[in-house]
Amino acid sequence: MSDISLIVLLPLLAAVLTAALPRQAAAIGTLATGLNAFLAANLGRQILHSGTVTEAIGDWTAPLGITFDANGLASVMLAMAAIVGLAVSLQAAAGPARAGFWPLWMATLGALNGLFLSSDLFNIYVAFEILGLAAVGLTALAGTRASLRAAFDYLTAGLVGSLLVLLGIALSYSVTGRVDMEAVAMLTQSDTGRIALALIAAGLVVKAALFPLHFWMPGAHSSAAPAASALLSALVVKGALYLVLRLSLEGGAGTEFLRNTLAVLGAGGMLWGAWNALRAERLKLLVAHSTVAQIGLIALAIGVAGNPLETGLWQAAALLMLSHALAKAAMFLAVGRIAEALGHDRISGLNREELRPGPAEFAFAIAAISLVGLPPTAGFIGKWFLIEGLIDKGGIHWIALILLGTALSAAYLSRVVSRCLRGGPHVSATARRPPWRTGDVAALGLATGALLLGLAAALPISLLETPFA
Amino acid sequence: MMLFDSVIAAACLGAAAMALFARDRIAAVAAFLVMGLLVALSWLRLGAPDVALAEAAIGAGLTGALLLRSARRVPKASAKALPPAQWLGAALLSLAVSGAILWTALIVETAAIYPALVNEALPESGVENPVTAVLLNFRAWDTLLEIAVLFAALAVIAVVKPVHPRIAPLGPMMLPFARVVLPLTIFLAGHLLWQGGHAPGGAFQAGAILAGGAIALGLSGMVRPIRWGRAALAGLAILGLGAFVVAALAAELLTGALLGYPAGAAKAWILAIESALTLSIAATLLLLFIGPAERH
Amino acid sequence: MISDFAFLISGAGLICLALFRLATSADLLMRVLGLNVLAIGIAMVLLVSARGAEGTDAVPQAFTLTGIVVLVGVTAALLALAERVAEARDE
Repeated sequence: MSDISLIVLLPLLAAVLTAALPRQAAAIGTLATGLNAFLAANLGRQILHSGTVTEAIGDWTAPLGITFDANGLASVMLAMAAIVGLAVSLQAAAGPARAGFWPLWMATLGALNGLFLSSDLFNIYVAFEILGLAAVGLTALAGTRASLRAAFDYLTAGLVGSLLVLLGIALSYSVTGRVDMEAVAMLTQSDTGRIALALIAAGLVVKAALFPLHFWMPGAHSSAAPAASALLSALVVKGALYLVLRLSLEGGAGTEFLRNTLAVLGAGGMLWGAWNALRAERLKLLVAHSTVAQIGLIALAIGVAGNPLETGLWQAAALLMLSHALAKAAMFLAVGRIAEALGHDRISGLNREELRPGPAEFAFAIAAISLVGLPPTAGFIGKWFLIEGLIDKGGIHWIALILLGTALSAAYLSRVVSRCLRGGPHVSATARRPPWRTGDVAALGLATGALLLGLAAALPISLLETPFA
Repeated sequence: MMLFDSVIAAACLGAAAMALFARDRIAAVAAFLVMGLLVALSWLRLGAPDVALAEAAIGAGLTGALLLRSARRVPKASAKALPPAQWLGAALLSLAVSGAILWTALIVETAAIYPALVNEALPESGVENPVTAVLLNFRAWDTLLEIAVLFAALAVIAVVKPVHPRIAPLGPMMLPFARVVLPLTIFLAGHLLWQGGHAPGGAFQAGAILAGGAIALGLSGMVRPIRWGRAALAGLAILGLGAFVVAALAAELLTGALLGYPAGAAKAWILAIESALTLSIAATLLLLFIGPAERH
Repeated sequence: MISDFAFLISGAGLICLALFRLATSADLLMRVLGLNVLAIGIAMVLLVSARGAEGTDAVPQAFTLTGIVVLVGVTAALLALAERVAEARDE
């Protein structure tokens, strides 16, 4: 039984079991997430040791069959999903039981694992549909009017996105006669092929909530329950971003037109998201708009990286995806705890007299430091990698934009951090500390992970440097 | 036949326009249903009978039933006059996309590389129908994920918990019809499932026919779907994904390849998986229509 | 070949109509209809390009079949959500 087969099948099996046995769902789900993390670590070790692992499903090789390619990038993504998943499972298992959470989360994990490993465009499309549906279910789980409406818009936008991807795949078939990843390089050879690629990319832009097609996202991410928001913001949008990066890698020099567009859209998203986060009145909305800005930064990193076959600058984008996942999941879990303690999530009401800052506030602050990109966090390594590469390439205007984005993110995050952590005269002497909860452990754990990852960044970087295929 | 094909192709477009621009909801859904049947006919003419069958049963039949169910429950949005700029932008965008598609499809002259590969591998696949061979052997992983999509859809509906449709019995006139429908659907479904190995048909078409028969019986008032036990139906529905995953793992234990069937036994494996899927798909499609749980 | 051309035009036309409707309608049910028509149009284009000298390629046929089943699942979820949104508005 290979690790690859287990890592894609185990979450799906767990999804069935958690649906069949709702009483034991939390135990089964947590166990499955733990096993998944173990498998992801084992697979990563294998890849570090002996390079890319390939598996042809049913022994039918591509293009007729579907192949799994466990390369360094896929392995970093699997690890990202595994780490965030562990923390979210911990939080959800300890929190109030929400019927329906576990099957949806397990389906999300299975779809993500399949998506990261698959080397077949049509197969990836089907995985996207599982991911889209499960994510919508996670949004609707909150049960409020706003979340139901956001879920409908989310599903509509997601379906438009995946139908655009499907249309691109259909054209890819008529141009190259095949739909496996090998087709991508062939598509870059002709105008018709580039149309097919552009359609796939347009669908992914909708799914990744990249500016200006992000309209559906802040509503969905801010109205869902904390554990669900953490999964949506940290992992689900990464599925589409990962495929964008993969297309850029597979296409090599031929996908330069996609990268140029991505860089522009990414810059737009970084500024637009930051602007909206500066003006947001509710904490969850601020965090959701910050996701728009961070997705913009990641798209910009993919866009300015140049031909991935020549420079390793694209690795910065993968590092930024990883660090954003940890920090943003920590942030949403922390926000959930803060809102729980306060009874609301208005930013203006974060100054309070009778409550001292608790662990959730510290988790938020650490996550904010990583998102801004101060050393020694993972966010710093990603940005440093990117800026260093850009200095060599001579992209000084991009550096200026990235620094502007960084300054803006520091500005909107300090709106929260300054209020949360302020001691001084306005806190009354009798103020109590909020009690510790498992949610705090999960949030703090992830935030600490984002901090430590900066120190241990050699590991993901050496994974990303393992040669492809 | 060229004239016939052109007329169907044009009729598809006409029906779609009626479905999308009709003022009346019911008329729109009826036009959509007609379009589904015309599209199924087109696909038959394009040499894809398996897909045509699925489109008629699922795309037109079940989707039509779902839309009809919701047509009265979802209030109409007030039709606001659009700013001309948006109207123009939408028209330009949609024309540009479809123009690009036409252009691409017309100028490329690439021969697909799949037919030769499928022909070569077909004898080993265990079935003679190439579409079934692709779905359950060469690219069975796609199909497994597709069953997971149905699972996820069911999980979403279980969270959303819509009011389950009030089944309004159509009266005693339906009874004789229902008595014919029950054995007929079961027979037809079994036949389609078995036939899928060598001729058009298979688990999805058979499952859709079963679900359609059950919905028709429910509407006839002969059977009260509430009493069938939603728990049993839900169990049957999720069984499909469970059985497929277990089969994939078992195959790997035996042959060392994920979803690699043991040599010579492929037909038995495919038939076993398909039988489980038929029941599960029928239960899933039925639950997608009536809702997996009652809301209190 | 002329038959294939007619179906190709039909497929592209379906996509055009659906995209236009999706961009101009705020009606929830209309959006669901539009998405379904869009998917059918894409399937039509795929099936036309699957035509070859020795019949219709089986692999895109399997893709289309998968697409139809996926679509009914998503449609059911969309309609369930639309009904609940309408209910929540009434409450």
